[in-house]
Amino acid sequence: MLDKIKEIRKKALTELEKINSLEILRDFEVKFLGKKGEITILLKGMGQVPRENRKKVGQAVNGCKVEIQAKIKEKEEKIKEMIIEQDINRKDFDITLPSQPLPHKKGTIHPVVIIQNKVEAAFEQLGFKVLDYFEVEDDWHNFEGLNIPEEHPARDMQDTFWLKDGNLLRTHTSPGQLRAMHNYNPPLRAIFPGKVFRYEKTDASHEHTFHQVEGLMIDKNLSVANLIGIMKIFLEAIFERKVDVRLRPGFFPFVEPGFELDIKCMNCGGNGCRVCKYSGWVELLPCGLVHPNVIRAGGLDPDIWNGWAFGLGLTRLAMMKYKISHITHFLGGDLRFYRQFTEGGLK
Amino acid sequence: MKISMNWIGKYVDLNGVDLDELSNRFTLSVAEIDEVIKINPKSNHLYIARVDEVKPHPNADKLRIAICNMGNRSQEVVCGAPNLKPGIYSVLADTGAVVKDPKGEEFTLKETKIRDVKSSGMLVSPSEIGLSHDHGGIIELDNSLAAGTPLSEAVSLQDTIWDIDNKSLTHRPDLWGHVGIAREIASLLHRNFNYNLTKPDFSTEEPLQIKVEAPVLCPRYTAVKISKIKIKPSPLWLQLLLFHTDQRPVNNIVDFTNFVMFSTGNPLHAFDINHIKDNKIIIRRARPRETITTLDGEKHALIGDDLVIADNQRTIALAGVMGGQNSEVVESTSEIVLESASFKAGSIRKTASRHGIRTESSARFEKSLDPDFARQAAWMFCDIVDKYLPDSEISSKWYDLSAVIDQKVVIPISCDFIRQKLGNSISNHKIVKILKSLDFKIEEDKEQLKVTVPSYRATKDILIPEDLVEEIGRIFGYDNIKPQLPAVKMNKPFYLPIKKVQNLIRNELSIGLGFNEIMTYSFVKQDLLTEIGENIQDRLALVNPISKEEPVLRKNIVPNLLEAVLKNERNQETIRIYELGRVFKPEKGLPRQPQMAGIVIADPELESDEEGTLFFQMKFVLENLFSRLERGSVEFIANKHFDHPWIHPAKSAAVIVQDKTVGYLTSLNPYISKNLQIKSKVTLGILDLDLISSLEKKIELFQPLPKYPGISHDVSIIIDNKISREEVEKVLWQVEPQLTRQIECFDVYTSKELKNKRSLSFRILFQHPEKTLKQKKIKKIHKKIVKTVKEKTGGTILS
Repeated sequence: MLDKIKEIRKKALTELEKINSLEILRDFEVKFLGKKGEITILLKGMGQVPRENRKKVGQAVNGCKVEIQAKIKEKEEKIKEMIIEQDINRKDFDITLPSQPLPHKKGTIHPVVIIQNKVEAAFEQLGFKVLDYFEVEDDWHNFEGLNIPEEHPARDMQDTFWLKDGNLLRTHTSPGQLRAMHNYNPPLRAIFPGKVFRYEKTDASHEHTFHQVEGLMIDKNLSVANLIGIMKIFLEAIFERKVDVRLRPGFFPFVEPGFELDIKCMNCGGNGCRVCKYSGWVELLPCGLVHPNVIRAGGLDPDIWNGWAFGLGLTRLAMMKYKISHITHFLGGDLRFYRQFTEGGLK
Repeated sequence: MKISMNWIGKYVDLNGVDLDELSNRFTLSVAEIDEVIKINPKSNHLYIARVDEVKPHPNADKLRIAICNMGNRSQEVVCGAPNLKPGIYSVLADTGAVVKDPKGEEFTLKETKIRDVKSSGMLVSPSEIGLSHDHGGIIELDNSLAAGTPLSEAVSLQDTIWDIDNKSLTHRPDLWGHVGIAREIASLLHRNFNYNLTKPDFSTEEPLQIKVEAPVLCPRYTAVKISKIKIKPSPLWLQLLLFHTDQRPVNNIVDFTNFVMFSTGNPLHAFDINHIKDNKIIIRRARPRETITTLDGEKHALIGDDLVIADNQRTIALAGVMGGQNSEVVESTSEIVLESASFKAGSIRKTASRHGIRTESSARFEKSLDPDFARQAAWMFCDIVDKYLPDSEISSKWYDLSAVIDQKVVIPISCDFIRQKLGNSISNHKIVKILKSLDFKIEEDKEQLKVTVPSYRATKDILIPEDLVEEIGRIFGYDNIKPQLPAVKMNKPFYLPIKKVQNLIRNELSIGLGFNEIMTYSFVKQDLLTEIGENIQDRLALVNPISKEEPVLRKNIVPNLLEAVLKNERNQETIRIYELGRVFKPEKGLPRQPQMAGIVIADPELESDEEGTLFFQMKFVLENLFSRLERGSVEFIANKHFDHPWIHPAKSAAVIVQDKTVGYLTSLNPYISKNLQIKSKVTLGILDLDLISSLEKKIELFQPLPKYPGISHDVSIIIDNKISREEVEKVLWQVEPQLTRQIECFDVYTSKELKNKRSLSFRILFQHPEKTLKQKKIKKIHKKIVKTVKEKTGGTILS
């Protein structure tokens, strides 16, 4: 019996040595370890081994089985490695062959971009430039230049991702106000959408990365009445219906006076419902007249120029529009989410 | 912050005011009210009771029997409260009273037996009669109300509470107490604001030594000693106010300090004088290795930027944040020192956040309080102690150590400026009236106003004319301003080149080619990078990542896209995704943050992709993109060296436009698939959009249409694998360059029989500008093709 084990082992190892493809390796495995494999048969035959030898023989068969199993695994790795090596070293792949059209499939645009495109289109028609600014900002553009000095409580409200090089991930799109004022001569009207970051743990309604759009208008003699006027026609363009807005005081260091702009709840028409927490109004965006210190930081003379600015949450607007319950879907990478938004395009 | 309308009523008459409308006005003119809470407990059958005697319960260890004095009668109730003891005054709910069980369900009390002992009624906790959520023990009162007094006769239990969003008050240091809120309400209602403090009768004694060693951090420190104090529960009216504003009554002195803080907005602290060594109080920066154990039992190691209150030997309070355990007011306290001070906002904010203690006190000092609040708070405290502890005695002078120079903020402003900024024709008269109602002092000179800001709003809140515009606007009501579009100059049309490139790509991919646009984080996971074999160095690292897994910003768009493939491949559907976004490359100053496009085709079903189907599909995608981008045609060059582990050395190509490498396409390196356990076959197309948009615009011009028909001619060439399609095509162009118009490779055939050769089929269009070509001519050309191809490439032509 022991001799037979030795013999099968030797045979198996010799055969294994020569194998160089995964298919043959599978066959080999069946031949020795399959239901009717040679080693399997040895194991089945243990009953006939005399009692006194059984332990010794049993150990030998099992040892053989374990060894062959390990060798197969080893071989498999080797062959896979070989296939990879062959693949990456092949010389016959001709990249100049003609390209191949893709079979038809329905594509989609990211829901935030669908909304962003609408916002951009509306403002473009009003003569606003659409600009694009950095996600990594310096302290000056994100805080200091926006009238948020180091000890200002506003820095509490916006907990910040700091980088080891001293820069930070912008906590709002407002740094673009300063950059736009420096880049373009007044009078100026522009919007700048983009990613913003808050140091915040994520859950269904909180996300550390989301999208905003900032609006800025700089001219002589702009007023609160102008701000309300533009916001109203803009929101009516976005929602494609009549929108009632109201302003109430809101504190943001880079505007004075500063406001929270509410819209009349579209779910209940202002009568009160769960969406508006029974107040009839939904808080939509912060805005205000640009603080003279910010105008100054933008390189302009606040005795000549003034302006207004607003910041609108694009992610939030998309959630409102499509009634999306979990904010983490937007950057979560799950195609079952993105494939649901089939509108938009061709701006 | 919780604001009680009963409390507000002390300072402004709210009779006949519609509170719902008022809260709406307040939200529109002052600050956001998150919630209006109506407290309306049922007060029938509730009485003041004095516990005369406490007996053990014969059948229960945790229960006791209280014999309650109800004035003209005595009543026995079973009670389990830990604070039950003889002599205390509490509230007894008699049979018939409606009380709440621990779940908040109401039930009517009946005479009952608890473990065989008769109990008629119960002594109640605040939560059981709906005063607050406090259910830690039975209510404890002082003796100012006689036992047996029905509660409904003694006080009003009803109240309306506003829960104001603290964030909407951060810029208003004057609104952190009921007095300030009441002042705003008085202005909104055009009613009188009744807030008068009289100077207490201070003694002339000087038993204390007080020294401010850090005047910058402590601009004002006032203190007074009060003797013959008896610590006991505070009166019912005060406890009710505290209950309603979510505070827990402790004892009279602590409750009085809280009452004054929630009234004036200025925090107070009472020390037990017996624990102050040598009657010395020093306000100084903490010394090296100094510590303090605060009232909550936490021990804090201090640094020199922390301001402390100390006696001759040790720290006794973390200034403006929390008192020390060692000088706490306890039941045996009979003499206190009352501190009413002003501390520097920034320093308090830093100390509170450094030690992780945010208290009602630190939250207020952070807001830059008016130093005069310290005076008001001290006076109000003395007044209330005098009223409710008539035996007590002010036993020192009023120490007032002030480094504040009374600096008035005066703002010159014109009424026209206000009208222009608001865009409304509000009258001079109305402007002046509003400002006066808010306690501003006005000197009028026709259009010009000189506005003196009240001290409590002059610390940081109102400093410039624009701040006054807000005051007028909010009280006037923004609803009264008519929307008006600005008159503006025309602009030159403007379009940011990068935006145009992004939009064209988006439309081509999402609408033309069936891709799903996704977005991923600007961060990348560390273990993802490790698996890919990228090192973590030389990247923008976060000081405070949300999770240890995502410590750096992405330098490439690929890893996150591969993660998306992994996430989606189990759905067994072809994946076509792309992301347009920034990546981050460290540089001095701000990092370089180019806008990239990352395009992925992945097929989870494909067993092997030796032919490179996905590769040539991606090539198709890129060709299509560049046909839209107006930057000229695109070329692909093999064997360009790219330093990314996901590049496949054999199946990759550089994307060249206007002689510049603007990106690459590659099959995913199989080692990466293996490490990440990606089952799908994957091809990537990566483009630098900033670079592309910076290229010169190129437009293909119109070609005149041919006058004479052309002839298509097909050839199939069997040729060595190593000779590329491009080389063969070049040779074909050379055969008859004058007549060749177009060559298209329309079929590639490989088989085992051909071994290391393959068949390439081309369709060639021949055309003469001035005549129609004849078949004879084509036959001639064909012979020439056979010969040239053989000579130059070694290929043979079939048939």
